[in-house]
Amino acid sequence: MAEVSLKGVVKRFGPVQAVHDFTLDIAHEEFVVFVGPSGCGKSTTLRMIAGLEDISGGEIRIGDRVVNDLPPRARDISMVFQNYALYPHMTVRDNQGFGLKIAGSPKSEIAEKVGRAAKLLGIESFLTRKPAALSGGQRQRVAMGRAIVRDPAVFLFDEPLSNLDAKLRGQMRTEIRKLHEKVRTTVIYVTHDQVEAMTLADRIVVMRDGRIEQVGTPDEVYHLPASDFVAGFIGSPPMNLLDARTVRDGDGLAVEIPGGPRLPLDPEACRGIEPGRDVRLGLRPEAIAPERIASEMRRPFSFTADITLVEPLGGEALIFLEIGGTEVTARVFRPNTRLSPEKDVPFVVDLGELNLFDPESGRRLCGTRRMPTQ
Amino acid sequence: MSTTVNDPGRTGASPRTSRQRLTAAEPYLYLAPGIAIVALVMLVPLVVGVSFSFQNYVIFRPAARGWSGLENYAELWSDRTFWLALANTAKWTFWSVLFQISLGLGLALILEKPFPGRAIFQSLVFLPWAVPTFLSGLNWQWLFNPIVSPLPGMLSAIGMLDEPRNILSDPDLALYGPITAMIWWGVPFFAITLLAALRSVPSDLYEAAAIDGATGWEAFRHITVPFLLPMMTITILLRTVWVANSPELIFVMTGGGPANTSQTLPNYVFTSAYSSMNFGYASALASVLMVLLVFYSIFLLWIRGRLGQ
Repeated sequence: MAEVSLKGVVKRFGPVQAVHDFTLDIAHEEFVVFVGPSGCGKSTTLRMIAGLEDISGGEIRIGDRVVNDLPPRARDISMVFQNYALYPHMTVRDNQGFGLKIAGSPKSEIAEKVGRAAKLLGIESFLTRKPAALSGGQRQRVAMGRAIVRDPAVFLFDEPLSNLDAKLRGQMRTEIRKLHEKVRTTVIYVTHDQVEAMTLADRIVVMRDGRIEQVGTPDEVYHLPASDFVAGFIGSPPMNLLDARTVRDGDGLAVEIPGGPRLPLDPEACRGIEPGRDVRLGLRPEAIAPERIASEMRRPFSFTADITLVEPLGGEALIFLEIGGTEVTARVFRPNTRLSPEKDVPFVVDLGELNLFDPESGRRLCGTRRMPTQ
Repeated sequence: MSTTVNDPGRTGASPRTSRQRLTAAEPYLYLAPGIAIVALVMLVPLVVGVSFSFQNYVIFRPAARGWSGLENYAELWSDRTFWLALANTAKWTFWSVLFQISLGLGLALILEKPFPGRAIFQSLVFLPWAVPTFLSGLNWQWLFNPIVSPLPGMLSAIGMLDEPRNILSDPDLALYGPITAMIWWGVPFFAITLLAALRSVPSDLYEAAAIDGATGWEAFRHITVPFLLPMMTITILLRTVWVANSPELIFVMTGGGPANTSQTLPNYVFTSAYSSMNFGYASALASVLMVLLVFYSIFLLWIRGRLGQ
């Protein structure tokens, strides 16, 4: 069993604090992805778990041991690096078996484990080659093989796919997911790519400026972002964010976009919000669509807007429209009519997908979205 | 547009022969001036120098000058000083390079890790390299002199010498004086080159090794050494040739004495040429040294080639 638990972990580089009070419990066999923009402290946190960086405060546990002061080799982990970090003077076989050789395992055992890992990753045919003779994708496989061979309690991945081209990245992403199904271990995976995070993770940890912004399943992070930062970071294209104001609307409450429509709020979900308050309104692009091609919505609300630009992407199209002077992106799937810029187009927005954020702190105020039932 | 001009299917039919030959010769045409200059300043003097060794060529007996076949080499074969100088050259080169590389590697490893005052320490380490060899020879000559230097006293206090005396005048120890000076002078070269090589090792390899369970020593053995080896063979090759060829320190400190006991080949070449004025014999000595060093270099490059596989 290898839970990983971080309690109030802090990292300072001189006067600069890179990681603030990081607290997280990771379950056995869970796949957790740290995601965030560069410099958000995700890699530093991973390196502290690996033991490659000292921690300036707090406590890290792997399994039932506090590993704060243990060297990396005593932590029962293995790591896959962004630049693969394969030993260039060793063959693929020796690269994979290095850890076992150092540990003094018998030759037969090393050969067996290397063979098994190679088979799992489909790299048997180049075990005798040196890393320089391999392509980027093959090197990444070898690096993963080296990590598997040691049979660790926790796998750490540090942006393993960012040196690959887009197509290969997609393939490897799928393979990592499959690999996790076969080799059930706790995985901590760092990336700046929100697509990787969404597709791989059991739970996503969104980080910003050395702090945890939100921890949640991909669905929670996507549909119920804890802040406007998460809303803007996760999703491609990101969530539309508009400055707006709450107003009284008959018995209930509405949110008014200056120069744009007034959208009634669900009184149940947004209880406790007073009228006359500045808010940031968040709307996913797929919650907006031209009325004539809109798919079914839970709480449709009609308004008109001007289409300024259309980007057809084959299976889907991005429509840029103006609401109250702000450009907003809408995404429609399988549009069967050709769309073009035009004025005063009837649109619908799904009021069941509204998110309100505090404009000062960026924290979520309310949202009407309910989590999809499993 | 451009496909019509460069399409080999269209132009390749007729002017294949002469034009292609011209294209093949083109690089050599550009290289010709360079090769000519190298031949003029390197090859010609080399051939002339080696040709002296087959001549009876003593400066103050110009009338006796002429081709003498292998006479100089026969004389050399029966010359006791030549064999002594050859053995001394091997000893001088081996100990100098061995200590230079071990101390240089040690310094490079120390200087690679950051510590306060590293920049100052680094420039101090590299200082001996900047001192002219003649000057350092004189310095070390004085350092081994018990009248002006505390060094012999120290050596005897720690039991390395029976009494504070000058090792440069001891037939058994004289060669170790210039060797010490050579080590002191040559360590920075290894420290600089090996430090550069150390810095070229990607740090994530050490991290990967640390995670793979390697201790500091194991990482050194399995990561650092394999990375340094190509650089080390080249620097060892260079230093061996330079050290084996350099007479200055021996010339300044012992002059090959006492009684030729610290004589090495280059110094013997020098004294043969300019004391006995026997250029023919000096050239034969130098040719032997050159041939030995060429064989040594081939051997070391062969080893390097094997390591690279």
